[in-house]
Amino acid sequence: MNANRNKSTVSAASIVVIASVAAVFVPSMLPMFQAIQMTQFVALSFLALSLAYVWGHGGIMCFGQAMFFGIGGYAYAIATINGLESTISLLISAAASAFFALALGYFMFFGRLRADIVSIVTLVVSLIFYKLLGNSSGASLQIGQASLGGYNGIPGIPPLNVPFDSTSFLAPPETLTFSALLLILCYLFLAQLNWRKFGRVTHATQQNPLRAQLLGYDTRRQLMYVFAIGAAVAGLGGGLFAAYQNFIDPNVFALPMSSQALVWVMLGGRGTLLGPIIATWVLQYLTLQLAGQKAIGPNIALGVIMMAAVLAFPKGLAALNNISLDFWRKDQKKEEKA
Amino acid sequence: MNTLLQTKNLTKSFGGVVALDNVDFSIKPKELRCIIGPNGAGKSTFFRCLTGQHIPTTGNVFFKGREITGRQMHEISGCGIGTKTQVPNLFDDMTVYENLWLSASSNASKNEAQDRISEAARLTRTESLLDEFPKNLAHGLRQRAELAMVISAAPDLVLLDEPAAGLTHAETCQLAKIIQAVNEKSAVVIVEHDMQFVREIADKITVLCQGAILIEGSAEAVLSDARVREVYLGRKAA
Repeated sequence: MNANRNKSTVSAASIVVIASVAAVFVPSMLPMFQAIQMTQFVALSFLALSLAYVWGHGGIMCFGQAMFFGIGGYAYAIATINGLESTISLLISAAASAFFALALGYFMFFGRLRADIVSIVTLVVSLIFYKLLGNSSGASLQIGQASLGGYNGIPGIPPLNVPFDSTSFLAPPETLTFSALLLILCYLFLAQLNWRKFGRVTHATQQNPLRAQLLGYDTRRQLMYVFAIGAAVAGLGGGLFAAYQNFIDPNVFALPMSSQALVWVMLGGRGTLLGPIIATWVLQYLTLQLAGQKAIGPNIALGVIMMAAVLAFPKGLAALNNISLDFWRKDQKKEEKA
Repeated sequence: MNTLLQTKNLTKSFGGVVALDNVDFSIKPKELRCIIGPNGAGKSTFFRCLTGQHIPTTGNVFFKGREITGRQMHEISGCGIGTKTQVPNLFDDMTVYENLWLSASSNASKNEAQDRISEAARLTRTESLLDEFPKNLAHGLRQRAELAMVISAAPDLVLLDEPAAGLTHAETCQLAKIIQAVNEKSAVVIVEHDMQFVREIADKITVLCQGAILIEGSAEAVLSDARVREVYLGRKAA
C-alpha cells in the first residue's frame, strides 16, 4: 500500500506543481479576454471539484450542489457591497455555504433519508432558493447596502482586491492566478483528506454503512461533514464567480447549473477529483466554441457530445489510457489488476 | 462485575409477528455462549437487538451495567461490543490491513491500533492476507478476516453470527481454536447451526424457540434434553 501511495503521491504532486507554475506564469501571457474567460472556468471548477468530492468520495448524489455555489456568490456580493474586503468575503462565502449544508445535512442524514430522497431534497431546496431570490426585488429586500434585486440579480459587485488591502484591486490576470492557486489548494486539501482517517472513514461509510456503524463510526455525522466540506468549496467558487463577473443572479440556483455539475463529474470520472475539473474546462471551452457557429444549435451539439462521451467512457475521462488522476484511483487499479 | 450483558423481557415484534418474546438472557465476562435454535427461532433478531440494528419493542438491554436499549449502532459498538455478521461483511475496496486498521483506530491511538492489528492478525492467522483485497479471498478466509477486523477493536463482547457457515471441516476446526483464543480476552456469544462445532467449543448453550428461551445450561445437558431434540433436531433424529 505504501509503495502505491508513494507512486501516486509523486504523480499527483507533479500535476500540482505543473498547474501551480502555470497558474503563476501563464495568466500574464494571455490576452485579457482569455484571462477573464479562464477565470470563469476556474470558478466553475470549484463547483465540479465540490461535487466530485461529495458524490464521488462521499457517495452523496447531490442534485442541488449549485445551491452552495449560489449561496457563496450571494454571500460574497452582500459582504463586499457592505464594505468588507474580498479575502474575508470569500471566507464568508465558504462559511455561509458550509453552515447551510450542516443545517440541511443534519435533517437529511440524522433523519436517515434514503439516498434518492437526499438527491431530490437538495434539488428542491436549490429551486426554492431560485424562486425566493427571484422574488426578492424591492427596496425593502436589501441587506445593508446590498439590494437583492430579484431575477435581475445584484450588479456592481466589487472584484477581488489584493488580500487584506481593499484599496488595490487585482487585474484580470492576477485574479486568474489567485483563483487558480486557490483551486489547487482546495484540490490538495480534499486529496490529502482521503489519505487521512477522515477520508478512510468516508470511503468506508460510502461502501458499507452498516459495517462502518458496527465498527463504531457515526455515519450520519460523517456524511454531514462531507456534505459541509463540499459546500464550503462550492461556496468559495461561488464567491469567485460573483467577483469575476461583478454580478450574481438567481440563475446560479437553477436546474441547468446543477445538472451541468453532474455532467462534469460523470464525464470527468466519479471517484476522482481532477477528472471533473478537466471535464469542466473541456466542456466550457466547447460551449464557447459552439456558441460562435450558426450551423447547429450549440445546446444540441453539446448534448450530443456529452452523451457520446458518457457512453464511450462510462468511467469518465480519468479512465482514459489508465491515467491516474487522483491518489485514491491507484488503489482501485491495483484491485482491478488483482 | 458478575454480568457483562443482560437482557430483561426483551421483546421484538414485526407487525403481528413476535420474533422475540420476553427474553431474559445474561452472560458473564469471558464466558463463551452458543445460541442455537431452529430457523425462525429469533436468533438473528436477538443479535440485531443487541447491536442496535433493531430497536426492541419492549424490554431492556444492559451492558456493563449501563442500559444500551435503543442506542445507535456506533454507540453500542463504542461501549465494547464487536459484531461479526452472518454473511462476511468487509470493505471490499480496502485491503485486509485497512479493514483491520479502521476497526482498531475507532477507539485506539495510532501505536495501540498497530499493536492490535498485529495481535488480531496473529490470532486469526491472517498475517499473510493483510495486503489482499477481501473480495479476492475465498469464503473461509473472508470469515477469518472479518473476525480479525472485529477483534481489532478489542471488544469486551464478541457476537458471532454463524461463523462456521460454509466452512470445510478443517477450517471449522481451525476456527474453533481461534475462537477459544479470542475467548481468553473477550466474552463470546455465537449463533450457530453446526452442532459438531457447538459441541466442540460451547461451555454453555441457550436454545431459542419461537422467540423465547426454551432451555439454558451446559452443552451436555442441553443437547441431551428431549425438548431440544424435539424442536431443534426433530423427533426422528432424536
